[in-house]
Amino acid sequence: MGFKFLNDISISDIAFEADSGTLEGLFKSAADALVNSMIRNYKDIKQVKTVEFTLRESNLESLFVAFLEKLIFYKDVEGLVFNGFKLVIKETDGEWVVSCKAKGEKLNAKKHELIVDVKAVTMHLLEVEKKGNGWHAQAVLDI
Amino acid sequence: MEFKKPTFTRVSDTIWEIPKTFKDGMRVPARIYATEKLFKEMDLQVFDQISNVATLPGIQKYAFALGDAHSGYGSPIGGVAAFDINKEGVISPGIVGFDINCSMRLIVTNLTLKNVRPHIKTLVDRLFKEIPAGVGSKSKTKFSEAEFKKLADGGAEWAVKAGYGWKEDLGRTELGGIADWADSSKISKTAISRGLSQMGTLGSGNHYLEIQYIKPDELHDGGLAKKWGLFSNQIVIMWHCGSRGAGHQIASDYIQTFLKESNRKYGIKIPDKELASAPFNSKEGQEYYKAMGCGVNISFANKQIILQKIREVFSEVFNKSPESLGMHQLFDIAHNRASLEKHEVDGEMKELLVHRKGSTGSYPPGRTEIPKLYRKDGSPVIIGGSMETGSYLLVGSEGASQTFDSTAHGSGRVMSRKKAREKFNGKALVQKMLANGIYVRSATWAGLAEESGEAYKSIEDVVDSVEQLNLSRRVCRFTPIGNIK
Repeated sequence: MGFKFLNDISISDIAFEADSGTLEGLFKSAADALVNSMIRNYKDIKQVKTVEFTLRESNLESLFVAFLEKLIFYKDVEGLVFNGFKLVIKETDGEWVVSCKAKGEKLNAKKHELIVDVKAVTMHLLEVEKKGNGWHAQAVLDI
Repeated sequence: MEFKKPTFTRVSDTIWEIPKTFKDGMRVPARIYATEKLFKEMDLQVFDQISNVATLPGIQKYAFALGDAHSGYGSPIGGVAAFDINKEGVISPGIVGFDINCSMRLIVTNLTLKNVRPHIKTLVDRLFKEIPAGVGSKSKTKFSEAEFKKLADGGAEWAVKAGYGWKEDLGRTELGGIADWADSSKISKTAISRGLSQMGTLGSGNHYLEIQYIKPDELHDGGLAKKWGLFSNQIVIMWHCGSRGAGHQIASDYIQTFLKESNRKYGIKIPDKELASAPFNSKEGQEYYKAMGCGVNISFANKQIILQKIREVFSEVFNKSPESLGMHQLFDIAHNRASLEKHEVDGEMKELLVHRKGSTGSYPPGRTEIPKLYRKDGSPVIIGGSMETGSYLLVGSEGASQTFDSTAHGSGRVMSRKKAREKFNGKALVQKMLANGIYVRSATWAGLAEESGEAYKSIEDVVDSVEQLNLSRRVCRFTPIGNIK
């Protein structure tokens, strides 16, 4: 459970896989992978700011990408990075919806050990699927 | 993850072919243009990805991977694919690349190594302060949404009018510094929001700005170098960046649109979702083309703002105007773009959309894509090396017609970012580079370790490769003395 970076896919970018017993846990692990790609000590991000958003997509893969891209948006536009996520994911009438409450703080180069900027989530070798009793995802992040 | 190894046909010493039978749906063979050494260094995913590109409708001749090719997403970095726009040819954001119009820009000075070496620390420190780099970097130059739309429609032309740079810069930039087909009504509010405070920033990863000089024995074509204003021990400034978050958002938005609508609507089968495509002459294809034009312009404007900062810093440190320091732009050339060009295919002149992802236009003398200033000589080609080694200025050669006038773009990675971080130490690397005469400032130690020279192919091998293939030839080599990233 959690996430793991993959070394042998897209060597100029960052690939990861994530697993969880629940879909919400999977999205949370993927978000952790995204933030950890940029900040080595991401667990030290203080949860002092909260943002809430809801996203709707026609399929689960698109929802997964849209969720991670929303976090990139907050990093670029508001300078916010997160490590606390409260998520509810539902499928109703052929539409996938994620409601998210994300907690974090402003990027701070003095405090956060910065690595490299993530600018997009690619569709390359993207997997978001049920596996056994849980959920599995694989994604390549554009650097 | 394992990828199947194709059975190659060796066409010549420097050309390898993957037959159409390698994968279902390949419309043309794929070809690798590289020396044997570089070919053997390529990861198997390169061959898988370039074969996927060969399945797209309207592709002409071959799907190409050049000497610096390494695995990317959708298409390999170092890939070229041209599509006949009058015969079902497609446009695909995944083979333009996310960082639309990511490019190399080069400016010269009349300063020499002797003039600059004593000031290198001050120059690099000042540039590092004025030109933000790294994760989440924000510019001091902020734009309103209305201004940003003008920037996205007007590119470097808009930037020069707004006071960023000189009019002559436009004649020394591809397309004259403006994608005149751009339409900012085709880009999302999200893309605009991401761009508002990022203009004038470098970004991160392999983006950098370097102060370099020309060693006396590295003026390979002395005549052309002199004509282009280059001389021994001269100081030049080179940087690598693109359209920042806005360009990436444009790519993301249209990949999703193409996946949800175009692929089904136009019956395009793709082996990798990243290759989402639409016919160039469809509504969706044209909308992305106009949005991509905005990405091109955002990149041009970003580099114009950076150019202005560089001129200001040098002027301040040397207490002379940028004009009296001879700070002329030499060229700005992209390696992530799709360009409408005319090329001969099997004896017929065709209108093609040439996608270059991590590959550079290398136009032989006379091509109309070359600005008038350089048209008789061939296009200047700027090849960025790793921060520890050096970079090259090349010129387009006649043989580039083999690859739709395309050449390599840089060293190309051979090691993953994570492996590089495990193997190298950023702080130790800075000391090593200092000992080698290169002063570095970076927003991140870990990010710096990822960019170690050993994580890349040899720039000499890459340039040897494109020379052997007659895609481009050497004009001169640049050695770094200062770097910000």
